[in-house]
Amino acid sequence: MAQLVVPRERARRFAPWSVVGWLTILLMGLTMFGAFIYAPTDRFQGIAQRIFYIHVPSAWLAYLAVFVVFIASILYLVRRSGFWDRVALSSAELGVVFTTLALVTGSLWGRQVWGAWWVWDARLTTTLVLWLIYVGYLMLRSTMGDSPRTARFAAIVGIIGFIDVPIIHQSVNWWRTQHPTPIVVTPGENPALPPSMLLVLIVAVIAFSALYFWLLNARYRLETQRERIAELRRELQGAADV
Amino acid sequence: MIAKAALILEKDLRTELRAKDILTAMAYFSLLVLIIFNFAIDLREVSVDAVAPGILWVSFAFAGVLGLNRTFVREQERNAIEGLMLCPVDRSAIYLGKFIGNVLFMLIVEALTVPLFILLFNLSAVGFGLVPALMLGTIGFASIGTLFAALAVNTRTREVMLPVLLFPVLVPIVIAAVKATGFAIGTISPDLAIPWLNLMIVFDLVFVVVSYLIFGYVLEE
Amino acid sequence: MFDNPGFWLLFAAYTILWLVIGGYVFTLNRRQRDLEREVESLSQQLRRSTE
Repeated sequence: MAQLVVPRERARRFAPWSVVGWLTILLMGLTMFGAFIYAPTDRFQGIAQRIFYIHVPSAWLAYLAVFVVFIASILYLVRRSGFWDRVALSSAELGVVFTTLALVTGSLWGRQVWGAWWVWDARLTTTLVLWLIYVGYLMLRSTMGDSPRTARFAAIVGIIGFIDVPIIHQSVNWWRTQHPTPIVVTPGENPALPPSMLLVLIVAVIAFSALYFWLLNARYRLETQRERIAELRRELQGAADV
Repeated sequence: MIAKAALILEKDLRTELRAKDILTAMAYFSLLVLIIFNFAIDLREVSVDAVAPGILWVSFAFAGVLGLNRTFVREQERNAIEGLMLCPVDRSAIYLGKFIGNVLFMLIVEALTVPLFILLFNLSAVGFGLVPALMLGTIGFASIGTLFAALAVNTRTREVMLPVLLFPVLVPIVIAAVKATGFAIGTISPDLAIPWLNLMIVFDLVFVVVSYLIFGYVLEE
Repeated sequence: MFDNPGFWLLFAAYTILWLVIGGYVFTLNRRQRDLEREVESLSQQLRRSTE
């Protein structure tokens, strides 16, 4: 993974983040080792079951990211600080990235377990709707450009979208259970996950969480940079007007 | 508060009933969707009862978005939104007035469409279960719909932005309303319909309250 | 091993994971560099105009 370009004079200020960066790389390496070598092959699902170690953490990050959007949106509306708006935007983008990963890896795993690329299972469907909501959120932001109004509107969508998630899940759950359920092993509901598998999963979740915070910081820095450019533009405009 | 919301509602109703342009367009459009579905799905081959509720709600959803898109356009075009905001009116009263207006417009359109729907799809037994299904579904639709319409009208791509934002969050309402309508035409037993009605009640309560509280943040500055 | 359909699914999943993460880091990096260049040129302009 490439280290992000940090201006030399600022390099020291971001030192804690480079620690997170190295920790992420280390933990991701450990996850790969665990997923391919340490964890035993599942007796029923074969080696494709190893997708589990990236699918579950991706889904976890997707939900963590939209939760952060929700909290940051509320805090933005209350405090009106650009900080929370930038956090919300950065987290929403990561949310879309990891929702996409959860959907794609879920689809590949589902191909093995269910024999189909896609089933309208409750969890899958909720995640798909989540993806749609946050893609809409990013579309709203990109058509509106940077302004306090954009930040306010985006915060509203971020709050409504998150409150909706449990209701969506409930509705999709009932909607599916009224149909004949396919005879499958539902991911995550394996009755007894062997301890070695569980250990790898825990490491993977921690690794992905570190990755999330590292990426969030990198994405956030992009926004501060853009803020700085807007500021310079204003100054330049001011200097020209004089 | 309520009186002020009523005032806004009355203003909108009066303008609309004088011109009737939005109502006519909505009713026409929902009928159009019903007819297009008749061509898209061969009703001699599929069970009408199974697909009819879904078709009905697709038609309401499209017609509803058409109406919602116009909610704040009049004010926007004549810069009357500033006028509305300068009035000594709580912002939330504006939401309530607009929300009730949207519910009423949609219900009028639904009342016009449903008889044609029964006729065109040759449905024999339509029970009174249709009334709560339409009411609860429409309230849920208009709750977030009115809030998001106020956002979308301020964007460059307003007509596109509204459905993009709205349809995903309305997924639970669409599912529940379709199921509850299925009960009204007899494809679902009553004990299966109750959870869906409850879900719509929860959705409506949550989002009317949240939208009401949050609406002030849209009309700032 | 290679004729096991599970192998290709597993392979695809991990490849996509790393491509997406790598691609995202790459675009972040590029956007950051572009912005830095812009900051640089703007502050130079500013310095020139204030002189």
